[in-house]
Amino acid sequence: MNKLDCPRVEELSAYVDDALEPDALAALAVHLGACADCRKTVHGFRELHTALRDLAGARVGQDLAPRLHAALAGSGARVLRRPARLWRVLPLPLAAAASLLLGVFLGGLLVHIPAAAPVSPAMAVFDVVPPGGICMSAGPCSPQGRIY
Amino acid sequence: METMVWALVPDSSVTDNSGRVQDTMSMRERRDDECVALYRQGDMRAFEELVRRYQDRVYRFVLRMIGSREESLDLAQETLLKAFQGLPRWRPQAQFSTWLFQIARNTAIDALRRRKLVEYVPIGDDVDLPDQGLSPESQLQLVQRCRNLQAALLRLSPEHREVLLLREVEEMAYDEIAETLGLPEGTVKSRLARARLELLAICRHGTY
Repeated sequence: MNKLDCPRVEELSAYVDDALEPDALAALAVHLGACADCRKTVHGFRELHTALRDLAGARVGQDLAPRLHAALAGSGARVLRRPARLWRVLPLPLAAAASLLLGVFLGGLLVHIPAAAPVSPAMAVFDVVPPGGICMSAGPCSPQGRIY
Repeated sequence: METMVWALVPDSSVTDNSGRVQDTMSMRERRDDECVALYRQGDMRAFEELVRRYQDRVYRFVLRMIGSREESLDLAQETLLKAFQGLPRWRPQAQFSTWLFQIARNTAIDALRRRKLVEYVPIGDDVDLPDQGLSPESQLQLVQRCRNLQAALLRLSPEHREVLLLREVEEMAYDEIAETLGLPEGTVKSRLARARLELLAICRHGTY
């Protein structure tokens, strides 16, 4: 192969990057079919590409956001302070609303609230009106409804 | 036509200091420029998303430029801090990633100039590799290959090293590399080609 016919190395490099115009790409493809030296260069560039991709795995290994946040806060950056609203009203398609209600219903079936354990006499001292106290309410003043 | 009803659902939005309502549930889906806009309004969650999005990329670029793991961690933080402190100077017409890598590149170059690095600096025993499911023997070979490659990279001039890293590791297109480095696209093409030739020669002759 006549070296004068070989393209510049920039073209071979751009070929590896798929960065050639269609005409130039076609011409170079024909040349590569006939030129072992250029084929070797292109092959080498592609090997480098594969090897360099192995270097893409480096990680910091920790979240830098809190540290940078602190540094920025010291420089006067505004910080989000007001609490979020808990609920808002949204329009939902009927099917989505039905699914939501069904999910809440089924979830409720799974929750078992145990009955209140009977209070031992010793624990009665923690009643609203402990033993010996006077109940001023018209209704029951203790879980057991005792009026002392 | 689908029937609509009104439903009470948990609110994912927050209100910033100026009373504007912002939706935080989809921060990960927001573009960089949207996160920047939210950050400029005082939403630090947008800031956190941008940090998490770019911290590894900035770190690995700086690491491959200067070769020192410990110093690279400091420089990555310095880069991110400079970027957020300098956001008032950022023009939305430019990509945030381009802006960030400009700062990363300048920070790395400054560090190299301070060190007047002329010799190979080992990066230590740990090499971060992507999880490829390799056998222990293959992992060892890969680690050694990465060490050799890093050593070879450090033998290149910083100008060749940076253009190679931005293309091969950060997968930037020529025009993005040109904007990041402040060079004409033609210069990027020729510099990249020469960098590849030089690195190939170093690797083939084992002169790392």
